[in-house]
Amino acid sequence: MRLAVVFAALLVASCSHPALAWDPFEDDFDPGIVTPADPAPFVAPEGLYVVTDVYAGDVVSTSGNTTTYTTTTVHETPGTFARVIDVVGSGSASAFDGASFNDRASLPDGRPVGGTYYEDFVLTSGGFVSVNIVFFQDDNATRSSTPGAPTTPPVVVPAATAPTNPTMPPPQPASATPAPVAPAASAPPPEREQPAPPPPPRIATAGVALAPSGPSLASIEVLRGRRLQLWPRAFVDSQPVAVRTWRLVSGQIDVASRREGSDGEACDATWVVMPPAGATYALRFEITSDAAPGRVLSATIAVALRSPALGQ
Amino acid sequence: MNDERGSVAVTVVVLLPFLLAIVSGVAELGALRVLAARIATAADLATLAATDDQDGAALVDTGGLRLAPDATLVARDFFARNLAALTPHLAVTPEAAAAAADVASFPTAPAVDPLTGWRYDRPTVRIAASVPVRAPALGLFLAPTATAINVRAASSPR
Repeated sequence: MRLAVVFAALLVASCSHPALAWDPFEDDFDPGIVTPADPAPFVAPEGLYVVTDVYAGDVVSTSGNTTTYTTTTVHETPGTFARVIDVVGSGSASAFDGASFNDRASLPDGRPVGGTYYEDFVLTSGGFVSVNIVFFQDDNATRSSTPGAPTTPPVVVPAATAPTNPTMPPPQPASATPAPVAPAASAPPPEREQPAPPPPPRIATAGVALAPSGPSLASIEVLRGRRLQLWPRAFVDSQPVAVRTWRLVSGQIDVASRREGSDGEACDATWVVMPPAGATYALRFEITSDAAPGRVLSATIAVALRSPALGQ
Repeated sequence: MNDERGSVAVTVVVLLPFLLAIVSGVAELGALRVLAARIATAADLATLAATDDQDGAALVDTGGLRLAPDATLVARDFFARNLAALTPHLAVTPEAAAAAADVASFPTAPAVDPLTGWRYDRPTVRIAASVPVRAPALGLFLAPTATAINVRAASSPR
């Protein structure tokens, strides 16, 4: 019996090995991944550059017979990158027509305007991800004057204008001595008014702000489910003017109080559905203003939807 | 002398306290494991709540999300609220545990956390806490009946 017990004990001892201990606090005291600071500043790869001016809207200005198509920008560094993907001239088609979130305008003869297509990128952990394509218009068109077209007649004004007296003197009786009349030769000859110089072109732009008098923003970040107010705004020569009407032309808003409105009315917007990673919602508004009669101004804004998430 | 009847009962009686102590220790370690997870969840939810507290004026001016100035206060307050459900297991009050926590906000990005070395590419709220908890069964092993559970949590809008 004792031999058996001793033999069993020796057998167990020879087959034993250290037990795998389990530490319940193994994860609790994890100091985490320590990421050393970059030894050198980040340098954008060749072909891409850091965006420092953000698209704010298209500008169409007319001076005399010349209509100029330009683009306004906002000096801002949103942390995105861009590259030129196509440069097109007046009337030339591009493979990116229709791909940009802002439309490519047309000349009065119907041909598309010239400009440059840019592709925007954001840097993610997986590399550069394309976000959108934007078209920067840069063109002009001159309207040829039609022969025989009516021209503005010159306006003749008297050299010396007498002040108008609203209180007329009582009529003189017929027997009264006529008043002396100054000789005609003594009156100065009438002069023709010089044609007035053309007024400086008035640049009308539009934008979208988050407050009635807030600055126009090219892009915004919004928390998912958070309601905010979008205020379409119009500017003439960089001065804010009253908006007559506005209309949401394109872009997704999950919950919107209205998609068109007038001065003093904002669009209460809420987004619920998250876009694909790195993508944004591009909204485009058409705005009219009494300060820019007969024109429809376009304003775009990119909405990046965010949601609180755990890090590390 | 060869009659061994009753020896098993004696062995069981002798070893029973040790068996019970081992079972209690295992149960205590499991409970601590669960408690650690719940405290970590409390910290996570507190940072998420603070991340939801954004500076509206900055959003109007810049269009970008920026943490509100009181983000750390919000995080600490919600950490205490979340710990309240674990009060019987804590060695201190939830408010004391939250007050002792290291809560920091990084309103702008990028930023590097000097405590953890973590790099944030978004405005971030971070909690690092060492929460004292009760562990009475550890006393059977002549160990302290209270220990601390370390948690770290960070949240940002993504």
